[in-house]
Amino acid sequence: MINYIRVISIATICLFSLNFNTFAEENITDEAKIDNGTYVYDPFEKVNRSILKFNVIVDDIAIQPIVSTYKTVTPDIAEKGILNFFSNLKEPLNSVAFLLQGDPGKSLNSIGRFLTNSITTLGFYDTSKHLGLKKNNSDMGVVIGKSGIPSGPFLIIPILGPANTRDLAGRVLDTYVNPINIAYSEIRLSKGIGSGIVARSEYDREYNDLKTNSNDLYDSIKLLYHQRRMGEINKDHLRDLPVPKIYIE
Amino acid sequence: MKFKIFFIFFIFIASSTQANIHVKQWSEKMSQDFIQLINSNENMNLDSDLEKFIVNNFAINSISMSLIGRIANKSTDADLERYKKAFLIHITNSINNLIDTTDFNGQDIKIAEVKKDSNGYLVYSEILHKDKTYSIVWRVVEINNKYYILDIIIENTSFYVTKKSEFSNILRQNKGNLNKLSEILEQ
Repeated sequence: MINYIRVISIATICLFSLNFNTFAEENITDEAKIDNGTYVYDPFEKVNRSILKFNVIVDDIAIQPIVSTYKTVTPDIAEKGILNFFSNLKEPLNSVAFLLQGDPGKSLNSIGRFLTNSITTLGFYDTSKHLGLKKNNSDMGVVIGKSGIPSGPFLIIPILGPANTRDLAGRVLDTYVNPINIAYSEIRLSKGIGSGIVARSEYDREYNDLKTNSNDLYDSIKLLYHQRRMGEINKDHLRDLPVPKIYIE
Repeated sequence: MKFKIFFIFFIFIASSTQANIHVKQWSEKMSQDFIQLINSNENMNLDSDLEKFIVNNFAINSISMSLIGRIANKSTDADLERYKKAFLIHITNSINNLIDTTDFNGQDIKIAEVKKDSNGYLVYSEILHKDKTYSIVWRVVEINNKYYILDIIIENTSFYVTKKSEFSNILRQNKGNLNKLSEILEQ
């Protein structure tokens, strides 16, 4: 237990200090992009673009064939069941994250969902939705974001994809505060790979569509990721978005 | 004095609530028209009907002009006309692709609530699709006593913000040449 606390503390301190240092440079900004409302702090763009190219190659060679095979051999109902199974394993983390955000209602809701789904169907079917327990997602990145810590530079992580330093810190914390990982530490890696493949297959069509139609894949991924996370962290995000100027229609 | 303040406050609340109800009714009708359009067409005239729907319900002029920003002032009327036509084709294709990609086949769009802010109205809606609920927020504005959609925000991702970034990149790469952007949109 002491080891866990030590690892969490060191990881958090390292990543937060990196975040604060980089935030200090966040004042140097691209005015045009701020006007557009499309500004994402991205001092490592060149490195990120190279990593994205690498990720796309890895995806084409290794991940896409696995996803295609998985989708072909797995009936839709089984695919849905597996997705529910991994989603259910995330409920304890959701519960911890909501508790840390000061939302005991949603925290209890997540525990209720986890217990109901696990007891009735081992998590393969979302029984709890019939009891009115609505699914809500959260993670430690959102907890850190809601505490007022800025996102820091945008990053593309090899294999894992888009993030920022705040979310990277959040992901490290996710693996340590998730009660499932603490209870069954030996399955952490296989659970991570399994849920990654399932998540990738769920968004297979959207990803391929983005890859085919996007004028600049890197920019599209960066903006989509940034907007989605902003929405999860800040409830007033939609009100703050830039809107078109009004012309006579 | 107290009564006057209370009265003004009451009028203000009543009028904004009334406006919210109007926007909600308009949104419900617009979403029903959209569902009907998808269900009745069987893809025969979907493109042309979708284009008409977009012209009637989207603030196309405001969106297209705002997307290119200051480039609009530097362009000729002919270039702007070409761009606007290309943009209409592009937005029609984008929505058509979205229907295709998501296998959307006329699921009910549930309008949850309408909130007014300094830029118009935010209409919060939900679509239940394949056991998943998607959040769609419409930015609606009143122009000349008619409501128009200014932006669609699907799962926190704004169409306007995404296109603004995409168009800015294309224009930057092509030294602000609007015809090059129109050419790409026409493809």
